[in-house]
Amino acid sequence: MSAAPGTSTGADPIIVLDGVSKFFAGRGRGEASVARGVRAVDDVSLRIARGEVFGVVGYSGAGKSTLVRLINALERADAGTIDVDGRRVTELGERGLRDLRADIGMVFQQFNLFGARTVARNVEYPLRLAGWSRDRRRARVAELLEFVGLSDKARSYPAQLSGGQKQRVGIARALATSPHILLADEATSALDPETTRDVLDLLRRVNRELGVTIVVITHEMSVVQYVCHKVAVMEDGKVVEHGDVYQIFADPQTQATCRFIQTALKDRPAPDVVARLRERHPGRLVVVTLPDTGRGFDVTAFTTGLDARAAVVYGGVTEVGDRPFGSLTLELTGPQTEDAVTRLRDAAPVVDLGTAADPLDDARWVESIARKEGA
Amino acid sequence: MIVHATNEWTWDYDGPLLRQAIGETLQMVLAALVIGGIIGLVYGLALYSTRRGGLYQSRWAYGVLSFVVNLIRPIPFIIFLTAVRPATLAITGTTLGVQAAIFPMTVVTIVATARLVEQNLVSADPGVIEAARAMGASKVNALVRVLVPEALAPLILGYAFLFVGILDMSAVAGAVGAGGLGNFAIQYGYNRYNDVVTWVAVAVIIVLVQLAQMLGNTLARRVLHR
Repeated sequence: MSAAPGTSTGADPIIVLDGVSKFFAGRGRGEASVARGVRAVDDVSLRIARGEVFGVVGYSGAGKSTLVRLINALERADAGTIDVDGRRVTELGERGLRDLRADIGMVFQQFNLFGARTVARNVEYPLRLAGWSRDRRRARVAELLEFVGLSDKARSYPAQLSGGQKQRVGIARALATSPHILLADEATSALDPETTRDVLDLLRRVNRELGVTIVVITHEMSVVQYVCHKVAVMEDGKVVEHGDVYQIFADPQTQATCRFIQTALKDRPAPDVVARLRERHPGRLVVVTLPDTGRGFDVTAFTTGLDARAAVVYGGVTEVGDRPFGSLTLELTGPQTEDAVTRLRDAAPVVDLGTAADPLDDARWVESIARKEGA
Repeated sequence: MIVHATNEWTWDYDGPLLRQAIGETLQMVLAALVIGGIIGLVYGLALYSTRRGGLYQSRWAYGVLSFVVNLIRPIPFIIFLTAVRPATLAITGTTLGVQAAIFPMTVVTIVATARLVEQNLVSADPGVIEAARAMGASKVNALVRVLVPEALAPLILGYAFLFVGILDMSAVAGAVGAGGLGNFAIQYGYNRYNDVVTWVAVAVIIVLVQLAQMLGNTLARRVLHR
C-alpha cells in the first residue's frame, strides 16, 4: 500500500481517546436532566498518529466540535480517558491543563481574534502567556507572520482584514508556541471556496514543513479529501466509521459516509443521469472505479485486440488522500463487448448497468443510489 | 408679605459661591466615579463570570451578588443617603460634608457599574475567552487581559452614561451639607426666588454632562478599532 506523505502507520499515537463520552444536561437537576439532555459524544475511541492530518466529519450537532474540545479539555469528558502526547488529559488539574494547552494550538470557525489588538499583538499573546522575553517575542511574531504571508499586516487590526487573512492570523497565533498539535474547528467554514483552498494549503504546509499533527473538524467532505490522511465520520455523538481517507472514499460502509462522499465527488451518475445516458448511449454501460495502480488507468487495454469499442460517457478523476481517485462510466459496443467487460472486471471494481434495451441494476449500485436518494 | 423675585446675578457675591459649588460637585462625582467605577468593574466581572456557563459558574454566588445589586438600586438616593448614615459615620468619621456624601454615592455607583459591566460583557463575543483559554491563559487572565479590552469601547460609553447619574445623585448631597451645584441651585436660587441662579447652575450642569459625553465618545472611538 502506498502511504500518503506524512501518513503514520499508527504505531505512534499522539492522541488516544478511549471510550470517551460527554453529556450536556438538560434543564433541571440529577438523573432526569441527563435523560433529557444530549449525549454530545457517545463512547468514542480513536487513535490519532503523530504527524498525520486527521479529519472528523459530521453534520452540525453530530458532536464533532465537542469531541475536539475534549482533546484540549475546553470541555471535560464525563467518561473514558484521553491521552495527549503521554499526558492523561482526563486527570489533569487547572495548572496541568494550562501547560497542556500551550502545546495544542487551536483555530476557530469565527477566528476569535482579539479585535482590540493588532495582528502582531494577537500573535504575541500566547508568547506572553508562555513568559517569553520581549526580544524573543518580537522575532517569533515576525517569523510567524512571514510564514503565513502577512508580514505587511502586523500593525493592522483584525477588522481591517479579509476572512482568509483573519484565519491566517488565527493559524499564526495558534502556532506561536510551536505546538505539536493543531486543532482546526471548522477553520474554513466561514470562508469562500478560493480562500478555503488558500487556508487548506497553509494547513498542509503546517503539517509537512513543521510536522504538526492536525485534527480537522469539518462538515465538508471536500476539505477531508484535500488535506486529511485519516478520517472519522460522526453521527449522533458516535464515530460510525473511521480509517484511511482513500479507503473510506473507495469503500464507504455507512449511509452517513455515503452522503458525505456524494457531496465531494460527482463522478458517479445519479439515477436520472443514468436514464439520460441510456437514451444517448444504447450500448453496454459500466461504471469503473479507477484502481490506484500508480501508473494511471489505461482505458485502451481492455479493447485492444477485441472487436469492441469503449467510449467514456461520464465520470471524473480527482485526488483523495494524495492518491488518484474517481470513476469512469463507459459505453461498450461491438460483438466482443462481453470479453471487454471481463477484462475490466479483472482490473478494477466494475458496476454493470446493462444496456438500454436490457438494463441491469447491480445490487450494490441500487443500494448506493437509494442512499443518495435518502440524502 | 409680598416677596419679590430678585432674578439677578452678582459676580462679586454669586461667583465665588458658584466656583465653590462646582469644586464640590466635581470632587464628589469624580471620587464616586473613580472608586465606584473600579470596584464596580470587579463586581461586574464577578457577576459575569458566575453566571450560568461562566468561568466560575455558581448559581449561589451569582444569586447573592445579583440580589445585593437589586437591593440597593431601587432605593431613591435621598433615602439611601440618610438610611446608611451609621455606616457613613463608621467609615468616614462624619455624617456631614463632601466626605459623607462620597460614601453613599460610591456604593450606589458600584452596584450601577456592576450591572453595566455585566451587560456589556455578556454582549461581548465569548469566543475570545475560549481562544485565550485554548492558548493556556488562566481564567483571570482571559477575563482581564482579553475580555475587558474587547469590551472597552462600550464600557467607556457606559461610564460616560454613569457620570450623568452620579451628577444627579450629587444634587441631593446638599441634604448632608456637602454643597455642590444642586445645593447651590436650591439654596441660592429656589429658596431666594432667584431664577437666574438656578439657570446658571443648570447651565453649568449641562456643560459638565456635554463635556463628559464628548470625552467618553472620543475615548471610545480611540479604543474601537473597527
